[in-house]
Amino acid sequence: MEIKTFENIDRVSIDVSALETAVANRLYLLFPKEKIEVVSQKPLEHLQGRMSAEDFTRSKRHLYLTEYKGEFFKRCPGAKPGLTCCNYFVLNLGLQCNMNCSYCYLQSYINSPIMTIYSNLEKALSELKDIAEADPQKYFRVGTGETIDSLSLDEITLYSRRLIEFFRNYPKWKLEFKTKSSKVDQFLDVEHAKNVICSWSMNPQNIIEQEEHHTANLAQRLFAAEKCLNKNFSIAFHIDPMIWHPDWKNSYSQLVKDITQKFKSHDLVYITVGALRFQPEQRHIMRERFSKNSLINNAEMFTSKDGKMRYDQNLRSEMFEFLQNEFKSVDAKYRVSLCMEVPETWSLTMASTPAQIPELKDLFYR
Amino acid sequence: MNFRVISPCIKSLDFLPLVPVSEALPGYAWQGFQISHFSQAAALDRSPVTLTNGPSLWLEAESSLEQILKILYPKLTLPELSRLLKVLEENNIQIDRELFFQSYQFKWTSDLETTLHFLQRLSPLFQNWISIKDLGWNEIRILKYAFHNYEESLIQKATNFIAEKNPSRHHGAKILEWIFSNLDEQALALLLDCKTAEEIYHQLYQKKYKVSLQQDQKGQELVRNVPWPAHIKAEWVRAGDRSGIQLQVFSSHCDDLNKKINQLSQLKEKIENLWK
Repeated sequence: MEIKTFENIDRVSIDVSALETAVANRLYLLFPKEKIEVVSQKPLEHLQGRMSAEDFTRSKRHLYLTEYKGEFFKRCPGAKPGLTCCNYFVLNLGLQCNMNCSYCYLQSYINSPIMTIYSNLEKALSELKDIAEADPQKYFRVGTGETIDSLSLDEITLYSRRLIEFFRNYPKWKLEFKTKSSKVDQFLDVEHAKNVICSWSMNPQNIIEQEEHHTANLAQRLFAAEKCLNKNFSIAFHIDPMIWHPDWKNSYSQLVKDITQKFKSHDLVYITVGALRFQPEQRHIMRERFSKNSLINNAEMFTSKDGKMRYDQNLRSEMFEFLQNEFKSVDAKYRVSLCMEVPETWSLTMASTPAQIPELKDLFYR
Repeated sequence: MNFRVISPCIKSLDFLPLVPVSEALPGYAWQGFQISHFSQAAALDRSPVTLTNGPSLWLEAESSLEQILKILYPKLTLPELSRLLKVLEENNIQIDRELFFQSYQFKWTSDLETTLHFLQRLSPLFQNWISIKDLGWNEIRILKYAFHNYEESLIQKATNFIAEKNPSRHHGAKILEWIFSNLDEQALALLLDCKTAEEIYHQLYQKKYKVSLQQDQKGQELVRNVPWPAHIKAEWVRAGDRSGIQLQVFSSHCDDLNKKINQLSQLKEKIENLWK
C-alpha cells in the first residue's frame, strides 16, 4: 500500500524563518496542531553527522520546514568523469524521503536526522531566472527528484504547480518530476508549455513489494502516468535499479508488457535503465535496516572502477540488453538508454555510446 | 623535578594495551588512577614516580585525560579503544569521545560506540586478532548486525574459530562480513569444517557469489578449450566487477610477434563461437 503521507509523520517542526510561507500554512491545514512546533533552530542538531540505521529510520517521521541558505541549482551526480551522463541538472527542494526503498542512496548521502522541506522555492526560481537571462540560448534539463522524491510530499508543498507555471516561460527548457508515488492530481489542471516530464521509477511488482516500501504499487504508478499523459504531460520511465533475482527475466519481461500495453513508443520521451549500485559503506546501513530478507543484502556485488558496488559487468550488460530487446520486440522506436553507467557498459549493451545513437544524441548532448 | 608517590592510585585503568608504556619510563597517574605500568602496580605502589614529559602532564586540572592517553599510547586499535571505554565507564570517567576518537583517526558515532560495546564481549583471542590485523571500523561494523540478529554463543564460536585460523586482514574482513550476513547452523558448520583461513575464504566466496562463479567457471572452461599458440599465456581473470580473458604474449623479435598475432587472429572464429 502507498504510504499515507501524513500518518507516517509524527512530528512537524517549522522554523521561524518559514512561518509566513504558503507551505507553513498548508502544514497547519493538514496536520493536527499538537504535532506541530515552531522552532528557532534546527531540531536534533546534536545528531548531525554520520547517522545510525535507527537515526535514519527515525528521520523519515519528523518533517522540518526551513529556508535553504545555499545554492539550489546543482549538476546531477552522474555528470562525473568516467560516467556517461545525460546533461541533467538537479534542483533540490528538500532532503530525505517519506518512502523507504532498501537500496536508497540517501542512506549513504544525507547526514541530517530530519526530513527537510525548503520553504523558499522563490529563491530557487530566482536562481533559475538568472541562469536563463545569462544564457537565453542554453538548453537545460532540470530534475527535482534527487534528494527528495519530486511528488510524494507535493500535496503538502504544491511546488509542482509553481514550477510548471515557471517553466511555461521557458519552453525550451525541460522540467522533470521523478517519483515513486502516484500523487499527480494536485497539478493536473495547471497549464503547461509541454516541457514538463513526469517520470516514474519502475520495477516489477515483486521488487516493489520486497524492496520499495511505502511507495505506490506498479498499477498505481502506471495509472498516475496515464493521467498525466491524458493532460499532455511528457512521460518517462526509469527502470532503475534493476535488481537481479532468480526469476528476473520473467519479472522484467512482465514489467515491459505492463508498460507497453499502456504506453506506445511515441507516448514515452525516454526510458532509462540502470542496475543496482551503491557506495561500499552503504551496505552496513542497508543490512541493519532491511536484514537478509532483502535481495539487496544478498546481492553479488563487486567494486567497480568508480568505487561503487555493482553487479558483474557482464551480468549488467545481459540485464540491460534483455530489457532493451524486450522493448524493441514490441516496437523498435522505444528510446532506451542507460543511467549512471560506465562507457564500457554502454559499448557492451548498446554497441555504442549515446553520441553514436541518433535518438539519444539529442538527449545527451543538445 | 616533580615527585609524587603513586600509592594513592588505588584504582587502575588497565585496558590491556598491546604496546605498554616503556618500563624504562616512570609510571603515570591521572587523578588517582593508574594509567600506565599496569603489570607493575604492586611495585609502583611503594615507589615515588616522576613525569618526564613536562609539568603540563602533571597538572591534573589542566591536562585532559584524552591528551595524556594520546601521549602515552600514540596508536590504539579498536579493541584497545573498546576496552579503554569499558574501564572508563566502569569508573564513571567522562571523556570527549569525539575529540578522543579523532585523535586516533576514527570518527566517533553512536554506531561505532555500539560496535565497540559488542566487541568488548568477544574473546581476547578474537580481539587480539582484530588488533594485530588492524581492522578498521567498516570491517568490524558487521558485529553490530550480528549481535542484533544471532545468539551470542554462535557469534563467540564463529569469531574464535576465525581468529584461530588467523586470516589476513583482507580475507578476514570479508570472512566476517560474509559469515555474519547470513549466519545459520549450516553456515557455521561450513565454517567449522574448514582447515585453513584460505579454505574458509573460498568456501564463503562460493556461497556468496554463486552466479558470478558459474560465469567465471564458464570463462575458465572457454580458455581451456582454445588451442592457444605456444608462448601465449591465457587466463580468465576477475578484476572487481569485470571478468575476462587476459593474454600474456612474450616476443623478443618483431617477426615472432607478427607470427603470434597471426596465430591469434586464426583463432577468432573459434573464440567467437565459444564466447557466446
